[in-house]
Amino acid sequence: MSDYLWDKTGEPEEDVAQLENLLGALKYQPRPLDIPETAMPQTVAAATRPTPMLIFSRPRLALAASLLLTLLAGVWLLTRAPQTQELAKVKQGGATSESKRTEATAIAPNAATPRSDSVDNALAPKPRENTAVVVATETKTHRPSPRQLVARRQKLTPRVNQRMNAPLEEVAANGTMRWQVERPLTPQQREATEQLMLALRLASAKLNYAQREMQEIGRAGK
Amino acid sequence: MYEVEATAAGGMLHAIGTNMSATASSPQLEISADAALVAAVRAGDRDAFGRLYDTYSRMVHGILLARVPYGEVDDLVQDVFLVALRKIESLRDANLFGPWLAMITRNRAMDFHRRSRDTAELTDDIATTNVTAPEAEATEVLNLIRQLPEAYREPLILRFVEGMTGPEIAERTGLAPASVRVNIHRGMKLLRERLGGTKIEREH
Repeated sequence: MSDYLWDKTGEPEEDVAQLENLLGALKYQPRPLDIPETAMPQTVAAATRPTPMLIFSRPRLALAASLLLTLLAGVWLLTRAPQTQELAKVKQGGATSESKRTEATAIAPNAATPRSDSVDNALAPKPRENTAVVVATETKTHRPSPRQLVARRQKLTPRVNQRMNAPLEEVAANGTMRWQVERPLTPQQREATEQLMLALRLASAKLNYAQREMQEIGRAGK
Repeated sequence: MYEVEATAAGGMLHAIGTNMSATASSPQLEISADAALVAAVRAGDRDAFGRLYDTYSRMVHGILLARVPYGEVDDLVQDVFLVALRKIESLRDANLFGPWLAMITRNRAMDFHRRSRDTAELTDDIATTNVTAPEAEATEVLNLIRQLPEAYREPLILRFVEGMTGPEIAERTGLAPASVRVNIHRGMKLLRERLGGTKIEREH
C-alpha cells in the first residue's frame, strides 16, 4: 500500500501536492557556512590547553612551601642544639682547666677577682673585642662550623648590645662586666630537644616521601 | 495521542503520553558515515563539517521554522552549526549527531525567544513584508501549521517545506519512524480542518 504523505510513494493527494508546492517556496536555500578559524575544535582545544604554569597548582605550592619551612626549621634546630652544648662545655671547661680559667678571667673578670684601677682601666669593656676572644677561646677545644659561628654571634650580640646600652654608672659601680653565657641544658631539656628533633626528622622524611609520591603520580598522569 | 519528544543529550528518547518507546532506527551505513565525519571534525577537518552541514541544514532549518519567524531562520541556522562545532567534543555518541543537533536547534530557538522578550519582537507579518506573493501565502499556511500542537509542527514542516520523507525525518531527528508517521498523518488531518475554506483551498 502506497503512502505518499509518508514516503512519497504512489500518487499524491491533491491537497498534499498543493501544500508541497506552496510551502516548498520557503525551503532552505543552501548558503555556504562561514566557519571562523578559531571555531575549529583543535583551535579551541589549543586555546584552552593548560599552560605549564598550571602544573604548579595551589595545593602543590602549599605542600612545597610547608616542606621548605619544615626543613628550614629542622636545620635551624640542628645547628642550634650543638651550639648550646658547646657553650656549656666551654663554661664547664673554664671551671676545671687552669689555663682556660685564666683566659676566662681575662675575658670576663668576675666581681670577686681582686682588682686595681689600672686593671679596671685595662679591662675597660670592649664588648665586640671580648666576643671575638670568647670565640677564639672556644676554637681551642672544638672548631665550630661557620654556620655555628654565625648563629652564635647572632645569639651573643643582643646581650652585648644590651650591656653596651646599660648606664655608665652601673658599669662603674660594678667595675666589671659580667658576660652571660647560656646555661647548659638539663638532662630533661636535652632529652626533650632530642625528642623534638627526632619528631621533626620523622615529619620531614614523611613529607619528602609524600612529595616523591605526588611527583610520581604526576609523571604517570602525563 | 502520540507525542514524542527527543532529548538527544544522552541518546535518550522519551515517549510522552503513551507507552510507546522511541528508538533511533536509521540505516547503519548512514550512521557510521556521520560518526566518521564527526571524528574527522574533531581532528580539525573543516570539509567534514561542511558535509555534515549539507546533510543536516534542511533539518535545522525546518526545526527552526517551526518555532521562530521566517526572516530569522537563515541566520539562526548558521548559529546552530557554529554552536554544534564548538560543542562537538561534548557529543558522547557520534552516531547520534542528528538528534544531538536537533536538540541544539530546539534550544537555540527557545533561546531566541527568551532574548527577544526584552526587545520588540517582530511578528511574521512585519518580518515578511518584503517577500513575494507566493511566499506570503506560504507564510500564511506556515502560521497555521505553527498553531497546531507542538508534536505535529516539526514533522509537517520538515515534510512540506523541506521536502523530506517520513523515514528521512525519523532518521535525521532520531525520532521513532512510527511516531513520525502518526504525527504527520494526525497533523495533516488537523491542518485540513484548519485550511477548510481558506484562501489556499479557494485558489487551488
